[in-house]
Amino acid sequence: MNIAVVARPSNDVSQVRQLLTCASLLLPDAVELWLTGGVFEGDKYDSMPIDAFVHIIDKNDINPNIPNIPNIPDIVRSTEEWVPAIRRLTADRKPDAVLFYADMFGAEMAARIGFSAGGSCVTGVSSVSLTQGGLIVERAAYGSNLTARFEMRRAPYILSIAKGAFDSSPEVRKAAPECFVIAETLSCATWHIDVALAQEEVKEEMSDAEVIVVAGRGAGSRKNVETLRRLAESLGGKLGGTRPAVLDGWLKHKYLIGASGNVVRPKLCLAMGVSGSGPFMAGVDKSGTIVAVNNDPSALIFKYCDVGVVDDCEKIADELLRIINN
Amino acid sequence: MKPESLKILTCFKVTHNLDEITAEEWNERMELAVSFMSKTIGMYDESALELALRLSDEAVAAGREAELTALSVGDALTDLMVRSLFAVQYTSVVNVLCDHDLRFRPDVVAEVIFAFICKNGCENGEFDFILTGQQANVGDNEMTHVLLSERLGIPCVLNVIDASFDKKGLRVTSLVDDGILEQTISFGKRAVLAMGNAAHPYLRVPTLREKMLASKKSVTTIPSYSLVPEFPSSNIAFLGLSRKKTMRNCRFIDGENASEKALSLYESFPKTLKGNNS
Repeated sequence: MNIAVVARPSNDVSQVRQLLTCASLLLPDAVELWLTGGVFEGDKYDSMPIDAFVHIIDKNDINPNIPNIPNIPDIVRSTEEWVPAIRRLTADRKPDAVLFYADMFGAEMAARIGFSAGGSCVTGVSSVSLTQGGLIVERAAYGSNLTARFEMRRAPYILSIAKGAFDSSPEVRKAAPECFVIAETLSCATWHIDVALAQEEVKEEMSDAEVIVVAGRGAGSRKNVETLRRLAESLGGKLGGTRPAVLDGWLKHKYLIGASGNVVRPKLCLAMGVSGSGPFMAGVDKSGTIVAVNNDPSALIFKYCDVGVVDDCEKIADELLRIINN
Repeated sequence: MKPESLKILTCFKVTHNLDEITAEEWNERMELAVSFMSKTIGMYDESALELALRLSDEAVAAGREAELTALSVGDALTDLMVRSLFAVQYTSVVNVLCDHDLRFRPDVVAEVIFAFICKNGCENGEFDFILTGQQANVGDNEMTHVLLSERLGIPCVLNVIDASFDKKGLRVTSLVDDGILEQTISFGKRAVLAMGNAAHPYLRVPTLREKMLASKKSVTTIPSYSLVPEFPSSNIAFLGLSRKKTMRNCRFIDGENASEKALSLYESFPKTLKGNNS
């Protein structure tokens, strides 16, 4: 089986590694990494089991003064603009499977390529195995409370893999991979008058944090969330939030913990005022120890945690800070 | 803003309030437990329904006519949902009923919506914008809007936070992997907008008078086969559901007050973490 793994240069190494781990489960004959735009940094992928790189750049976008740096930042390019190029590559190189990481770019791209490729497409895949009839894949359903199982019966198999679903240490291949640069004329979108990045968000790196303190709706206010931020910092950890806390404007979206945000696996997760909904638990259920503080003794979170405290989370946070500072 | 009328189609899904289901019920009955839960509108779909109303408000304030259609494919709408949508000034509410299992068939849902849009375009004129939610629970597919956009051959903006009209067109704010994007869709261009974590996530609450006036209006019900005569086959077979969430044995920390509980809790932290603070 020949597999293409598609990523943006801005995807971090661990995300590419997760894609390669997923690819390795399909016992590939060859794996290609297709990179869309940006600057190609081959060193980043050293020792990864990749047979060939294909770097897709925009023909109209090559700056003659600064080789390899695009004039139009990829950040403002819509995913749709890359679709024809990926479609052409899929048709020309005929991979049996194309894998994307299920961030916003990958989830959309997988659905679009799946629409036209004539095979089968499943997004947000958390497990994969090869059978005689095709691929067996699983993914979250029912608000991440259940897992649905599917058989993909026709190649090419187009998948996007769920965040954090695969570990990031696939086998190492040492042969030097081939490199191809494909200059495509990207079809610039004609439907919008202007497009600009209103606010660039520096990614909040949470995947390596040993402690994560999560603010839920029960935190009650922005002020209390700031207390939780100080608690997280005192424990040498990071602060995250549930969807209600983000929607209430207490935290930016980049701090969202859950299936549609950050998927984390800290040694200690302190869930403060969190109810324990399925999508949230999907983001933390690989944590070492989960501690929940909630003033509702019947809160769902107490079914999924190791240590529970029934009390107001702001009181417990204040007391913990006092203990730590003393 | 241009003087023509504004036509928006908002697609939404009837789903169930999964937060009402306990961990034990999930473990014991899995999806059967869902059928006992109250019906609701998907959370992202609710944001889409509200955004359409806000755009309609802006259009009307600028002297345009606005026509809003709410469309749901699959399960039957409740009377309360229908009345609420009419009460907040949806022009029409359409319910496409389908006997087939659509949980994991975003392709079929997109096809039904596409057929409805084509039919409506011939009979009543095209929609300027099609609004959807980014994802709805049960299926958690997160694909319908993209497939619909592919089918229609029009662009799709995903993870929309907010939108409003300016002099040049529709200004759309959306979340992308690297930040927040703002783009203006020029007048005359159609697009699918998929709502993510919206600035205004909840559907407005109608007044009692609006509710009373709405009670006289009725939903338009269409069987799916009248739009898509043959149920499309799939290259993907749904094999079943399982419950993989592991419940943990929670040890509750007791204490007379928050201070005592916090102290016991701190003592329970791994030693290595406590070492970070010294």
